Amino acid sequence: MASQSNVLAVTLVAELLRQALAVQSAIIQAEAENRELTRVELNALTKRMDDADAELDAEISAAERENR
Amino acid sequence: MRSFARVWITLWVCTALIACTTMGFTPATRFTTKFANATAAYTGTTKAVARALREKRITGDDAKSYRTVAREWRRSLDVARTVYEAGDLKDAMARLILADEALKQLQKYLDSKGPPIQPSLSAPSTVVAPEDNNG
Repeated sequence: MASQSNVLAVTLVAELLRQALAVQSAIIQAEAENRELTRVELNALTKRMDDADAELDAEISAAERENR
Repeated sequence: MRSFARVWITLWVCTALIACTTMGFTPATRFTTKFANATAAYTGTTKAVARALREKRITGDDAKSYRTVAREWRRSLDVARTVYEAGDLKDAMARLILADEALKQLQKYLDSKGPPIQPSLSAPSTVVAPEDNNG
């Protein structure tokens, strides 16, 4: 169980760091230029959240089908 | 039977780690950069829960419980952006703080799944304080 949890921790950290890194370049650039993120950049962030929501919905639906 | 408490605690610790990381990489001083950090935390956590479910490390019920709370979190983020685009920066920052409250609700839920987490690993606020520096 401990080993399984360790594996889970590693995979979760990797996923979370990946998401953080994905937005860092835009943040660094905006801060360096002393400006807000553009609408296009904000739309990209929103789309990433939409995609994550869709992925979770799909996995929950799949789990429900499996349980039937 | 799996120890779901341990899984949830692990998940929450990871969320705390990413919050620290995102805040540590580049200190966000503007609404949109704080918003970006919040979206990264949301996206990362949601994708991690989806993956945990896919790999059967958590149950469908656990994932649904997360989704219920996460939707509040997401709604707050969406409203914050809408308000920001309407030109009300002060209210937009307040909405981001509400999103942070939703995150704390998530923490409560995860904490209820197991023993309390060490204080040093508690998630920091994704939003520090409202600002009035629009541009």
